[in-house]
Amino acid sequence: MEDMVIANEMNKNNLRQALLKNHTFILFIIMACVMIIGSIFVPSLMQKDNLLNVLRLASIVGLAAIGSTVVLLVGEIDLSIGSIMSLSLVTGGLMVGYGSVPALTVTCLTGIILGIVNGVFVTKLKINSLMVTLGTMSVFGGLANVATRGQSIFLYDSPLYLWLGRGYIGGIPVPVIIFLSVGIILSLLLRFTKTGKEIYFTGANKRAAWISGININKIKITAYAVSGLTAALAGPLLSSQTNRITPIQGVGFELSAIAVAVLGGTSLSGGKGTVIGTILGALTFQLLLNILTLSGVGTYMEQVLKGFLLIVIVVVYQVVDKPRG
Amino acid sequence: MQEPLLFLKNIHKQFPGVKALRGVDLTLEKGKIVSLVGTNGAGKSTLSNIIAGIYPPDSGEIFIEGKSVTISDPKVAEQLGVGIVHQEPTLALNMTVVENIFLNKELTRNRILLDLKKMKQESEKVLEFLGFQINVDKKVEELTLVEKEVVAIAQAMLVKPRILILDEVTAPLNKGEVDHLFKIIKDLRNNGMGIIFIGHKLQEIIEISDSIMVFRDGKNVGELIPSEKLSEKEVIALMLGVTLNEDLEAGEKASESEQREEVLNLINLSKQGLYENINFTLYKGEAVGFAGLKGSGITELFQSLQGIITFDDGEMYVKTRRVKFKNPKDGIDAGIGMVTNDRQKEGLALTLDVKENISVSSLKYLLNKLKLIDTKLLKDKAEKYVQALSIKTPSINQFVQNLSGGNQQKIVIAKWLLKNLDIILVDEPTRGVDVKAKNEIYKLLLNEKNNGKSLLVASPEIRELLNICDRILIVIGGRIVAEVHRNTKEFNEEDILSIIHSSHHYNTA
Repeated sequence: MEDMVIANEMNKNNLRQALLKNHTFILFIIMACVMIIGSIFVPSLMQKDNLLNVLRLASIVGLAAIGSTVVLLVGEIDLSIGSIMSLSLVTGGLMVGYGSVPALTVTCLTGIILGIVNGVFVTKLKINSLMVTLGTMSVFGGLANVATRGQSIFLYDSPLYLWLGRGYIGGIPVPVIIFLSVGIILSLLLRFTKTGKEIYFTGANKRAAWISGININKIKITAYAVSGLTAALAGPLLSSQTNRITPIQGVGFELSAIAVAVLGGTSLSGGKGTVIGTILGALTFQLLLNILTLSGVGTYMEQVLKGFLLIVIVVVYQVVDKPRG
Repeated sequence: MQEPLLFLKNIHKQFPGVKALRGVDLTLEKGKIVSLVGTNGAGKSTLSNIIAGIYPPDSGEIFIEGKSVTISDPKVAEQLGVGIVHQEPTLALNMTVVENIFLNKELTRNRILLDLKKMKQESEKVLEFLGFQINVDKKVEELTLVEKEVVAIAQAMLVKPRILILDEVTAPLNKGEVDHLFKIIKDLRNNGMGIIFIGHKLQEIIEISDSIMVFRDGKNVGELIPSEKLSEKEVIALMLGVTLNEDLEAGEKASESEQREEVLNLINLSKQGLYENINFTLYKGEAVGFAGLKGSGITELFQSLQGIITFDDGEMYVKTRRVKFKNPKDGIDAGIGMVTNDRQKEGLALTLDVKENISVSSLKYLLNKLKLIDTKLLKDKAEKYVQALSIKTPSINQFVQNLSGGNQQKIVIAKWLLKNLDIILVDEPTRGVDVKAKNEIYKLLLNEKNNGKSLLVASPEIRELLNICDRILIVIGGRIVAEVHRNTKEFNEEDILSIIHSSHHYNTA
């Protein structure tokens, strides 16, 4: 009798699990629906130029969202993504006179270092990550302004920068190629490395991870470093859209990045989520924004809706993924 | 005839993987003290939690003064006049006595401002009634154990309960404090309150109770009326009953004659307030049991041996190498791993699958030449342990949260077996595990022992230590007070329990 009850429960769970496992599939369907319904009401959505633009912007926010995903996977959060983006752009921008390659290298290194700073604060000082990164958001963002005295750095003499954001390879926008490459690499690393597995375990149960011998501090610092790096990578792609680096370029980007990660199925409580989901999340997110823009809502309203969207996503997932008692 | 104050009829309660209560009846009259006794897991705490509305019964009826009631949550219990003092008082340590007593029941002036003056007066009144003088402005963390216990009782008294449940309130107290507390409890009874008393120290139980309900495996199996003649042995005999599970012919004989290899040696190991002067040697292929009540320091001792916490004083040697672990990884690297008593919080990632949980500590050995995870090897290993330990799961890709308690426990053990540790510490190997899975876990542990692993096992169930272990150490108040070998006549449940439950050892707290 008892066995039967258990077996029954298992079957039910299998079904549930199968559905959950197909999270990416569900997301794909949602994205397709958004696209179809959107194109009915806003026919200009399907124009080639517009779609390329959507892809380009989705790639930029998606890149940063991959980093967010990794931090969320270890059960923490990174609110300083936008500021890391600004500051790393600025440090690179100040080097732009020496050429684009050194400048971009400095940008990436800055991103990694700032990520490590976040990670060290969170782990060694044992401060709540929400507070740490709220603090560093202000610190890094402020430093970006200090370093440039609020001025912009123009990129007309830096063709590499411009190409990164606006160029094409075989008809595909360069940001898309960068985004997908980083996405695939990180997806594989998460799945096939010791560190990747340990990231999931740490996020799923910190204490069990620690008792199982995982160096959870190292894992968390790594996650923040990845987040710093992807934020830094997204920066130049964004700058070249406007031909300039400004110290406030990344402002508000953390919201988009976290929203995309969550939309892609990454759990806010850690241990659950995939990069593939985040990639689909980025596309869906940008499509939604694009539909709003095309229907004439205006940029200011866009910000309002972005925040609203984030809350809706979180609520929906809470209902769908209700934890079992 | 007057209706009884509280009457429970055929109460059932099942938790995932274990039947906690299987048809319990209980009657409590006004002005009586009924004690619930039984080994750990017999269902005493589950029953008191049901009466206090902490969780609902699966079936059965509850009557208060003859009226059928549904106690859906603690608030309802309070309204019905049920107060409970928990095993480990749930006080807010950084708040004052008065704040704790009135927690969630704060008195206000004009519904906005707190009426601190009145709350203080009331608190002092309750405490005075209980016969204690405690400065109500003191923070609870500054109080002694007995004072904390009294504050917890005062908290329960505030709602003027007709029924008071005391769940192991005497555990941390010494004899004098217990006497004082008993005087209070008897006063409450004489004022007409019905009291349910849960305890482990049988001498005390016999002293205070009007009747003793004995629990075994989720049922009440008998009622004893205390008298001069009633002995602890009689109660224990009823607590144990007929042993249900077939005893395994454990560890046939410790390989006494052969040369024995020391794998772990502790000299005067101490941690303040938890355990003291632990001296102990563990040999290869040996299983040693630690028997003691909750809070005796065994869990913390085990934690220290893997580096989950650190010990203060003394020396620890692993195969003659002196060690002091700073974190759990150090312990694992030295070949020691602990199966903690809370697998869900400390052993498993419930939202990950079986193979990920089994392999988490051994990923280093599952890499290919490119330093990437060898997925096939990982799967093979996971499959191997799922089979060897007969873990019941549809596949190694099943989420661990969907498995039963017994199978989850096996996964924690499998994690350490895959890691190939020399010493495995098991704290409550079969907590929340059903009877069938229990026996499988015993066999599994014995098998590992015979393969040359060394085991330390802690359990409140003596039966399981008798099944697995070559010798049993009895720990009271953080000290080893006795050692019983398999080939001695004291190697039985009754004798070991009477050492643990005899009151004269309780003076170290």
